[in-house]
Amino acid sequence: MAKRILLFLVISAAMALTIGPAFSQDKVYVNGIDANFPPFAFVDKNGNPDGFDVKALDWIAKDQGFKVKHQPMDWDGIIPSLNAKKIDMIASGMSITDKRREQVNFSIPYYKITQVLVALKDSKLTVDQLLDQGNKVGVQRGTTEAKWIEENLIKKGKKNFSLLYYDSAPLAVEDVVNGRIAAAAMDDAPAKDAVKKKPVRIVGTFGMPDEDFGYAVRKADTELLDKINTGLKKLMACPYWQELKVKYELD
Amino acid sequence: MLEYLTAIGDALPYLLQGSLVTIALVVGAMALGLVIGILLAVGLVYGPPYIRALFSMYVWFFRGVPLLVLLFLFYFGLFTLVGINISAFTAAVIVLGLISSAYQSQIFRGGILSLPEGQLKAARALGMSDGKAICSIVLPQALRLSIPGWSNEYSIVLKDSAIAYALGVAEVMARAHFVASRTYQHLPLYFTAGVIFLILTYMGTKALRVLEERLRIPGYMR
Amino acid sequence: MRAMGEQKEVLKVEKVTKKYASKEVVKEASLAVNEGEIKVLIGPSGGGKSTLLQCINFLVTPDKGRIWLEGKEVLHSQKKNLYEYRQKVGMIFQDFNLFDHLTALGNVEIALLKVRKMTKKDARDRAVAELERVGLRDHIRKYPAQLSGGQKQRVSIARALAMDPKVMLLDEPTSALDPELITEVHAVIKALGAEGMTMVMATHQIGFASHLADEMLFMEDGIIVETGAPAKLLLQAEYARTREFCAKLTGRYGETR
Repeated sequence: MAKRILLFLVISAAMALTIGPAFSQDKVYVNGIDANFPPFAFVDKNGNPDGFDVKALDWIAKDQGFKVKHQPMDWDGIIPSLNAKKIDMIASGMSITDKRREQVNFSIPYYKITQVLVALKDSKLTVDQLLDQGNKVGVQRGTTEAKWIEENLIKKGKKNFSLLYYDSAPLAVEDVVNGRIAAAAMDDAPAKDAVKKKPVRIVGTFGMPDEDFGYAVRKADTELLDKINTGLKKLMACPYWQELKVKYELD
Repeated sequence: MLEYLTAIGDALPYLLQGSLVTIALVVGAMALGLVIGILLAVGLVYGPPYIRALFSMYVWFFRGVPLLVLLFLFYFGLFTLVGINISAFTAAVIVLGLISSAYQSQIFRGGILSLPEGQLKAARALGMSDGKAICSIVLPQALRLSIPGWSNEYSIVLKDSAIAYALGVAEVMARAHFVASRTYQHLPLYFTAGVIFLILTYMGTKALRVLEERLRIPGYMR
Repeated sequence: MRAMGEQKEVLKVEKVTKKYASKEVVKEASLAVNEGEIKVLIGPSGGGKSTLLQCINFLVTPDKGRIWLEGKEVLHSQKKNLYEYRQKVGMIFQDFNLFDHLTALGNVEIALLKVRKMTKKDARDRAVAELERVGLRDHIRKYPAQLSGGQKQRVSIARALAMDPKVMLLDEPTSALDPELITEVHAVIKALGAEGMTMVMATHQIGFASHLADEMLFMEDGIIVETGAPAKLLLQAEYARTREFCAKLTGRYGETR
């Protein structure tokens, strides 16, 4: 009996290790998404990836004749994952920045995003007051807004507030509701999503320049980038693009 | 309250599917840790000095470096460097397994050392090679004695497995996180994830208790 | 005394020495055992009897000395040679050393299966026969923890016998037993002697040993001081140390059995 149990465990170890690399022969591109970023990327009630970027990329893939699968993962490690070939592209509300351009190639921009501060619904404070008086402000780790605030408001601007880092923007919002932080800095689209679901309001922008979202691919994958760009241009010109925006309330 | 219950009800099937991923992670990691852990323990007790030194270093390394560091190191670093493209799940199983092997080796080593020396002597006296003596005399006894410690290790690996979500493995914790981001129901979802972990801990330790009882040597007290 | 025919030397031990740290536990011990002979080691505890016996089958590696079995020298650094030699030398330990996770039957079977590679059926038949031989037919399914000390030692004898040993080494086989359990083990050893088994035994049971032994060896401080027939050694020893020890023993234990 003991031997059989031992054997079972050994076999399951072997199986666990082989399940992973058992990919299908047909090349399926993997799109890494931050599933904590509604409405651009999230998982639906049944656990399937959903969101504006997910649906848009599905359309592009179909149009350009490649297969794509969406893989939720941690935002922190998403660019290393791309360059380590764990995923093949990132279509998940990623802002195009010069820093990121050093590591990856971006598609044409497809959405303009504004960064805003979110505070409690009955808070009377203004943006300036929120970023002062020793307040705490939450932000998602590894985002452009986190970087911008560090460099421009704290280092250069010498504003009197401290920055707290979260795994996701919704968690930062959660802490606003809990009263642990005064405000959360985030993209306006997910902020609108938060307003619908939590007793918070968008206070306003805080001086960070608008950014463009783009889809990222590895520098070497120029062919894939071409396909994505061609598909994206086509999609943006057709009515489905508008339908998507309405569906995910991005207007 | 009703709002919480609805949130839990809606997410439950998705979270429970995640518990299968968690179970697969833990079973894979524990099994890998078992195989390597036994080899390590035998080497640490019976091996020549250079093997003991080497294995001690292995144990020191995997017990000393934080799990998350190892996960990133292996997933983005090592495997990529040698050109093996493994899935996040496989990477998590390997890393959890290697870490667990270091801890398991100490459990088994304790089991081996608690056996009377005469057991090995008697086996040798019958003409068994050391390998045979270890496989048929020492390990069957040492592993039995190790079950309680192993059960403890199981509950640790189970909880550690939640960190696999950092690589995007959709286990219970990651799923709770995903759903909470969509629904903004963080509290009930993390609560549910916690309860699922508690239940998995209970079931696993219970199963090991039953195993311990069934493998118990009649009349043998310790 | 058994008939003196042509003498076949089964075991020869020459100048075996074992040091622990700087202390010589066994000093140049030599002995030879002919087929069917029974030699008994006596002497105070810590005198090196047990170490000598363990040196003989290399459970303790001697620092110096050579050993022959049936005229062939044992090359203990060659693993295969060592394992084959050990199969032919049965060892009985003071505290039995039964494998705790195996039944009486399993204890006897395991070496037959793993070392001698017998089939399951042959191993079982042989093991049952050996256990029957030591009077444990009804206990073969019991685990060591369910057996009395005397029964455990009989299982260990059966375990050794199953390997068809050329010689048996018995290291104080009854000293861990309660007095009332000693007899059953003695009976088994006596029966073995009667069947012609070659044996070297260390014991404190002088009365029992003196009836059984062809020769007694008195060992003290790692040295085999004196060798002789039991009657001579016990009553008219040459050396004062031997006389002193024997006087104490016979006084304490009396000439029973």
